[in-house]
Amino acid sequence: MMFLLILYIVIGFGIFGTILTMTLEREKEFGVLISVSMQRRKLSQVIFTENLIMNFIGVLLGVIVAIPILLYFYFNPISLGDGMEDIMAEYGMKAVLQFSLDPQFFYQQAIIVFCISMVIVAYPVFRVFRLDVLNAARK
Amino acid sequence: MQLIKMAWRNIWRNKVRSFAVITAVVLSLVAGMYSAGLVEGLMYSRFENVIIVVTIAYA
Repeated sequence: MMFLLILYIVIGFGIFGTILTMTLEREKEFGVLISVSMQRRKLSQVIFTENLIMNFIGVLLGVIVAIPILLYFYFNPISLGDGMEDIMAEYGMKAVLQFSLDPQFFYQQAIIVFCISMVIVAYPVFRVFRLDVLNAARK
Repeated sequence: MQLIKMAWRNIWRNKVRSFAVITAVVLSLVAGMYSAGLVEGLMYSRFENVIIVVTIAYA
């Protein structure tokens, strides 16, 4: 699905922005946890698991939200306007943007979005390892 | 097991923050599925059209 590359870049930066805000917001918490002798490895594992669960919930909810939208556009295709009908009829096409309900891209998109978000999770996971404890805990 | 429990409690400790992350993923998936459906549907209708034209012309 390389024709959606631009969309995936935009999506990736959107998710990255959210994750970045989350990480910066919790920096004090991480600093305090490390200074009371929580291992950095354990802490990064917790963050990874947390994001894994959240991404999983997000993907499930996303499929549930997207299916009615796709069903709506499958049964009510977007019209190109009244003036286009004659022109499109010459090419033997209807003047509508027909949607597809091929179940193949349901899980395809879900897997791609899940992979993108799991790649982005690498940021907080590795950020914990080079966190300056003194400055982070004082924030 | 303790790890998963801790992560699960961390998620619901700050609901707004977790909700923001989940919403980002949900919106991304909706956008992706919408665009994939549109592009796939366009390709399919074009393909179908070509088949009809060829079948009528060479029948």
